[in-house]
Amino acid sequence: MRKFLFGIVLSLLALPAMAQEKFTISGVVKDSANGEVMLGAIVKIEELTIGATTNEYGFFSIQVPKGTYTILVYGMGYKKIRQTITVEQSMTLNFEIAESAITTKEVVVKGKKEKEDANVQDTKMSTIQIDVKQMKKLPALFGEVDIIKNLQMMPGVQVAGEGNTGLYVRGGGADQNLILLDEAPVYNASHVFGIFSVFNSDAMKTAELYKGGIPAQHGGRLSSLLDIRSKDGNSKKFKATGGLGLISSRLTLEGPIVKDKASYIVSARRTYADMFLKLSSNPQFDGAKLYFYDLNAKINYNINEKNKVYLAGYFGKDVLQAAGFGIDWSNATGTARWNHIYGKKLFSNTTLVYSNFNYGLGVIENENDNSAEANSTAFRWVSNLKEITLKQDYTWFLNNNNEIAFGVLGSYKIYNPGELKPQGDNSIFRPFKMQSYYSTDQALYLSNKQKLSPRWMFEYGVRYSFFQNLGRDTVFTYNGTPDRSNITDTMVYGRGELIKAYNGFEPRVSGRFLINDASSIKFSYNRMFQYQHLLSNSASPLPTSQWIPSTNVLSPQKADQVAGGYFRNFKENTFEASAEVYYKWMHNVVDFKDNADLIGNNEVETEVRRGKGWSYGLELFVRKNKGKLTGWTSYTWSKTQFDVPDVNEGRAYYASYDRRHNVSVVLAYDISKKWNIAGNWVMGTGRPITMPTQKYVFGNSFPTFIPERNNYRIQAYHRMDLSATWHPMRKPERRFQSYWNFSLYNVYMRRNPFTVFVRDKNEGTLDEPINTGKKEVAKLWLFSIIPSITYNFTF
Amino acid sequence: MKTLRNFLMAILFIGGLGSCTEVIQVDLDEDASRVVVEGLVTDRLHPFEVKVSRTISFSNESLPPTVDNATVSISDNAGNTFPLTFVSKGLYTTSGPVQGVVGRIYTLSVTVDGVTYTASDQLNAIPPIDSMYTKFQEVSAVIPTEGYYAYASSTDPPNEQNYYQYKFYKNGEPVGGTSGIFVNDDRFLSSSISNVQLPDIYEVGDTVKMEQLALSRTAYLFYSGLFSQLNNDGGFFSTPPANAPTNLSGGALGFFQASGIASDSVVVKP
Repeated sequence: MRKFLFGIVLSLLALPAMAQEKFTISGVVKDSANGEVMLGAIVKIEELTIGATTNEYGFFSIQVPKGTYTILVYGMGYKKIRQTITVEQSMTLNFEIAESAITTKEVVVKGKKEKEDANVQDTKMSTIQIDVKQMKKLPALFGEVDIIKNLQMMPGVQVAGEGNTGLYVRGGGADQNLILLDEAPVYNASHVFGIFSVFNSDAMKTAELYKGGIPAQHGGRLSSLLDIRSKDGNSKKFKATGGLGLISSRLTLEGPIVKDKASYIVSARRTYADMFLKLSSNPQFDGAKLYFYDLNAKINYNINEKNKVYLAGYFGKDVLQAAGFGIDWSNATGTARWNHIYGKKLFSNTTLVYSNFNYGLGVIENENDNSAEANSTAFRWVSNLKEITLKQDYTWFLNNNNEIAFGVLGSYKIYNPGELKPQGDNSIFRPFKMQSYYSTDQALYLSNKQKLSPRWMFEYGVRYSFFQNLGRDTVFTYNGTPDRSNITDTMVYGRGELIKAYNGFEPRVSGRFLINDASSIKFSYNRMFQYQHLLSNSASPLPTSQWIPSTNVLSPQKADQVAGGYFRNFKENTFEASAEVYYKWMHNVVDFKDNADLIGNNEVETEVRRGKGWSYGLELFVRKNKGKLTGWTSYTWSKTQFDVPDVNEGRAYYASYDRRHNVSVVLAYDISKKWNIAGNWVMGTGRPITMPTQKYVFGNSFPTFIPERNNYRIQAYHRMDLSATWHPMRKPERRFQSYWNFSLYNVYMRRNPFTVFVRDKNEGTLDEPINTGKKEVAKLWLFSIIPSITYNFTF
Repeated sequence: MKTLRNFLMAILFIGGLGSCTEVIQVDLDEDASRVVVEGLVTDRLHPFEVKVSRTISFSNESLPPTVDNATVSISDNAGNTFPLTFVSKGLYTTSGPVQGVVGRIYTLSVTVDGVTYTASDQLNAIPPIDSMYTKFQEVSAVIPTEGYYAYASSTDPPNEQNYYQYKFYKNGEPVGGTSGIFVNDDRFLSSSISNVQLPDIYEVGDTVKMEQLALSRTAYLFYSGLFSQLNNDGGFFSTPPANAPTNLSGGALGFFQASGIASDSVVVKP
């Protein structure tokens, strides 16, 4: 391997010397309407049939010999720019491209057809891009447009339960996704226990999910990377966008600070369900609270053509209180970035990232009641996780055939798993603080995207990750399976002292073979390491689940994935289709022994069990991108199993999110300039749950005997949603634009199970139940048909 | 767990989301019947009691059958053996009252159809219940229904790991229904466990009785597992359903418990 890499590097260095003298054209592509940089825009030299795709910051770089050329710049859904240029020296060319007017007529491309066929041409596979604009036309639960809910309708992404924003990608758990908002990790992307995600769609520009073939630049989670980038803010003119919905209202303000040089965006969303609570005279709702909010802010400044800085921040919080009990959680992220271009070919991005996740819960102290018993059980439990990361990424546009990416990162994380604070003077609780964990990690990576021939293109690279678990901590070593009964040694480490180090070699390869202009075959392999583990034992990842780092006992999780696919476009890219297969091996994955005690447990590793998992599947996808009718259909066949010693008596078992078949159909149709309609239908095989076979009597109760984990499949999940969007006055000359979205969630009122559980079948009355030892299985379902209206405006 | 479920229901209700439950038909596998043992030894002068029964199919609507032909005996690590004889309906007791001793380890042996099942547990000391009282409470955020509520205080010895079980009785009848398992771990408790509200609502004239039992760690894990299983909501807040970890060998279910016991009671006065 090493020899092979050395050979490649050597051949790369030799290339420029052999070639004739070339000049570099580089620059940035932006949207002409708002000045947002365009990522994934294509810049092509017609005569040479060479081209480049802009990176995350809109930057491109192409090498051409001296001459006069026709340069073409375009992007999906944008008008093409055609310009003649004469190249005598290296030059900077910036472009602004305009969105194709929203029209009900088919966009007819005249003249020589340029293919917007990244689907077929790129080495990228196993990725899903969410079109944030199109997403807004689709039906949404309570009218809240949600990036994660849209991803759940894509192939290879499973859903745990009704209305849950956990992502289960190609057999991976909800804790194995690296969710980045402007490069800062978001540790819990859910509002209201996952019914909504934290991403306010008004503030987001792009969202891309990598299910496989993850570039060497990224690491840290086994299953996927969700890369969400917020808008930079309109650098041309002031703009306000907002909306009123049943659940929340939103307002986004953006505009130039210095026209075309600096801009800002501030976006806020808040729910108001709890406002109505104040109208209630029911004492049961005294002090009840239920709200969440999100605040996104960003500024960016183009210092000059070579330097650009961005500052972005996010803060979001949930507060839920009722019946004297409360839970709250919040995410805060901050990103500072500096883009610098060295010469014409070397693009540098320096990023400083901060992320903080907090949660708290407790029995709320009633300050108006001074009686001895009023606050005897009042307490507050708090927990948090902080991360600070510094990254330096470079992209070296060596020549038209080689794009080299390399970089380094360092990160420091502090985990405070929990602290109990008694509230008031009468609390029966004592102050209690769990041991904190400290860790540092680093990574180096180097990769190259190489066009070997017109047909063959490769992206290959390596990432090397390093991890250290540091003191202060008291660490136990165990003889065999970690258990309180077999602690062999106790070591006390001082602040910053190394407890345990791990490192991992993570090769990444993907390749493309172009069969013809409209079809290609791709394959990929990636290895991932994960040094952070989520202690969540419930089927849905709760905000109260705790992250902890790898320790002397919890070695890192590891996954290897291979994937292959056939990609095909039809009718000038009107339709794009793909068929992919994958196989994933997971090692040291985390599960928990039966009746695991995860709360307030300083020896929590004694509750964790490690084992292997494997997942494989087939994913079919067809998307129609153009015309009055757009949308996609996806089908996934997959199977995910785990084999963890001490869990299920050492026998293999299905993952709780294992669904054999998944289907989604998503369609949007533009009826007229004023109206468009959309609908989706999703179906998934019922997920496995654990059901008993026997029951017995013990004391007054009737416990059950469970023979096996996840031994029963609940009924299939399916649901149809419809929506209509009405633009009352769509005239481009008017500054004020508005539209209404009407959504119907679960149109045919299917009672899809949210949870299924065993309970006593009581006889007698509700007040005086008589238990006769009979048991029954009940399902809890959340949403019947849910209509919603959202009003959106922009000016 | 029940609190959490009620909390979730309240949140869903406030959010206008609503939710409903309905019974579903499931077709579960048949499985072999297993022996179930429930035994209790305390430091109170009282016959030792052991119940032996069998499991039945989950969907069977009759009561699980008792085992009336078992051979049952209890011994301690001080060399004493206590034979138990069959009384009725799966119940076996010592012939007269006996008193367990704090610190001793008790071992149960049950033989059913030639198969012997054994279990051991240590009898730990229990602090007394310091006081009990009742009080009328109006409806508030934490009091769903007005009425008389009972309160109790106890003291947890500091600097040692203790586990407790509580049993409550209203006029002699157990409180808390079929899922009423009340156990506690003193990990988070201060030494003064004062003015804690007991379950249920009472009327003037009712007798409220409370028992406090000392549990070993094994017993605590069994009862908390039992609690989780009986109150499992199917996965939202709950862990995957699991068997309560028994201390019986040989494939039997249930638990043999040795506990120090303290009790107190109060009559509700207007």
